[in-house]
Amino acid sequence: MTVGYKIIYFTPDPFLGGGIPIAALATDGERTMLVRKQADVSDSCLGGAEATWLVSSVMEDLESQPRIEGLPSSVGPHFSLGKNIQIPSGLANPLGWLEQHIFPLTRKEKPASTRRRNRKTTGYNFLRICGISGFVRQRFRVADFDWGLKSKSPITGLPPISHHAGSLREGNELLLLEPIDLSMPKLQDDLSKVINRFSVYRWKLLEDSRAKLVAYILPTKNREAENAAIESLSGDAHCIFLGGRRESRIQMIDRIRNAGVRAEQTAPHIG
Amino acid sequence: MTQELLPTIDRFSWLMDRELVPVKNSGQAVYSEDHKGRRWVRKRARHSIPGMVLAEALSWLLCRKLDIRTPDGAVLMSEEQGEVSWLSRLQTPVRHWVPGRLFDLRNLEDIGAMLCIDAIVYNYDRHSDNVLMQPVKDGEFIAWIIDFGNATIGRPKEFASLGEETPDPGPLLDLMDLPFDVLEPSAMELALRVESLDSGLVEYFVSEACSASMAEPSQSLSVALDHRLKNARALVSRYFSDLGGRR
Repeated sequence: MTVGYKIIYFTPDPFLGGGIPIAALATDGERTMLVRKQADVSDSCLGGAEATWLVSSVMEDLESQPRIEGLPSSVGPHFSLGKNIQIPSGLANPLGWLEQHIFPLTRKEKPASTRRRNRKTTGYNFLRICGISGFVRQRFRVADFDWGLKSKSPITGLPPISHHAGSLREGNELLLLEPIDLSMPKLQDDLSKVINRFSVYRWKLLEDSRAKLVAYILPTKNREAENAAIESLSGDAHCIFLGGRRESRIQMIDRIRNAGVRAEQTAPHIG
Repeated sequence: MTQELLPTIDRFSWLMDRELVPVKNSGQAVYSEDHKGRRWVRKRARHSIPGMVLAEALSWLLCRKLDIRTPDGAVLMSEEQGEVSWLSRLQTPVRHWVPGRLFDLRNLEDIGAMLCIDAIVYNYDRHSDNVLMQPVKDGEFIAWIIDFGNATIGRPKEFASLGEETPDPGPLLDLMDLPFDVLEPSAMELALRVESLDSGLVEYFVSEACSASMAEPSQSLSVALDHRLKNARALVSRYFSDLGGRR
């Protein structure tokens, strides 16, 4: 059983060369894993906030599919892999040892913060390419809405929703939109968050309101994950659109556009 | 037609070469620096297929005119070496395209536009290493479209014989694992704009590109390109139809 690792280097400036060790690929011969540097590497060291985000995005991808043989070409020209470093046999848990000792955190260093992709941003970009982002608002504030309920007591304690379209004026509908991106590394956390939000809205608003809780799933090839997400959401979402299915996407586009147009037509005019 | 309003290709006679660009499919491209300290990726004609510089130059002029995000371009004309190189302004930090991050892009419309231009210039070599992703803020990237060097538009006789054929979309299917019909509207929107490009402008682009790439002026190239531009929507429609059929 061959146990070893290769350091991954990041080169901020290809003209100057050099490399900053930022992670390693470690293997015990059967399993390969990514070991990230535990200490925080400052933005200025890497070349700015954008470089830090670039490193985070590549690390995210390598974590899902680590291969000791080499880096995928998608990582681009700033990343390189060092030589293979073998460690002697005899450890009970070699990968655990490597994880702890390749990049030990000293007392003076602060732990790394992780920058992650943003589900709201990818969702909004999808709506934009569908040509309907102009009808969608990104910030939903509960206090701004008259929910039109029979009970007049104030509605409090509602969590934020990612996007919304439409209004509750004059028979319109208000669409409360949550994107689901099945490629996100913390998909289960995202699904739980959305389901919890929807269930709180249903509980607080009951069925009196014309607000509709809508989940839209971004296009994917992963049918199994898509079906699992639909099943998870179907108890709490009023409506689920599938961005990757043409018919469903067209229905979503029409519904959001109609809600947005009616909202504009019935908006109060300020003279 | 006022020439100063039209894109032109800068010509350099001096560059300092640095290291090879460390990616596969780069065709021995090198990092280079000009006399003003600007940084470029240099592709030499002798290390590429015939017509590479002409293909890059003409595609670049079209992209510039149509506001598609592509790095600044220029040529290095080396009398000493008797050759010309295509220069693409270095963008950093960047990574290459990876499936699953389509909606991390802020400029998705440029991906649709790229497919339109690929169909017109007959670029059969679009793959993940020639779409760059540059981080702009946490969670988002912008895409830069690069590398038209293998497009058939660089070989005028071959290009003129294409008629209204579109390239085999095979390599694209590795590049994108998502429904292309999401991108088709932005591709068709550009195709509509492209159809109204003036024939005189097309002639100018061909003349400028041939001059910059030290290629023989070619009337047949102007005619063939003008014909394909005027039929852009049909070409894009066929291209997307092939993409859909091959999935």
